Amino acid sequence: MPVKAQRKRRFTFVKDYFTFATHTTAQLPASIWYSQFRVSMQSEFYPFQSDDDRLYFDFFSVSYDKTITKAVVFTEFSYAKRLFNLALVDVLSDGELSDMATSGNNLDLEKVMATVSQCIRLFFEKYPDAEIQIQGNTPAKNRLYRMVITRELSNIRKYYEIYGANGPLAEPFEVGKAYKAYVLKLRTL
Amino acid sequence: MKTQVKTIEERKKQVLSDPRVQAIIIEKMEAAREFIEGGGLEKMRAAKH
Repeated sequence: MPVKAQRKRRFTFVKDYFTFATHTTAQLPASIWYSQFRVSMQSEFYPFQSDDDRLYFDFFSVSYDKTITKAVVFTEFSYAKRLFNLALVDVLSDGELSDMATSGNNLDLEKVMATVSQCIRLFFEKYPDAEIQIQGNTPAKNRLYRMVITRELSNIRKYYEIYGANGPLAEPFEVGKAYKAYVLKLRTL
Repeated sequence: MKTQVKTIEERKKQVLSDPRVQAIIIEKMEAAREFIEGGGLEKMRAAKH
């Protein structure tokens, strides 16, 4: 299929998706639904829902040929209060689940990451004293996270402190340095 | 035929009750144990940047 036709087809599908999203919102009045119309944004992101505790969020990653449900799960460490792990999980169409192997699997990495950043923002509204640990379980995922953080660093630092951790040591995030995990906290004035 | 739409709470329950998701979370928490128990978290909290 020519690229132009693919783009047109994708646009149509996304448009239909937003129609579906609006319909879903109406069906779920008790839940919290966020979309471009309710949350100011810097980058385009997918409409998403959260539970009342803002510890669970989900959204649809959409391309012209498939839709992947993604869930963002915040879990407080049992042995470190106020520190939460962030997990981004793909809920596959057959009901299977997988940790985010490549969020580029729908060629929408930027939009997925923008959506996750909105989830983080809303999480911090509810838990301003919390810290979030972001950790890939493979070197490839950590490289991906580092790439995204590096690219968005100036924006991130407007609102958050970002640290890189290796073993027991953490330091303010440095571009070009490899870390095993990243820790995010709200910037204090 | 209308498709049954699950609520956010139903979807949350489905995802969080899956043992593979629990395994992912536990794996990441265990991986962070050295950082936490080694004092990295406390030092980070105490530091002012």
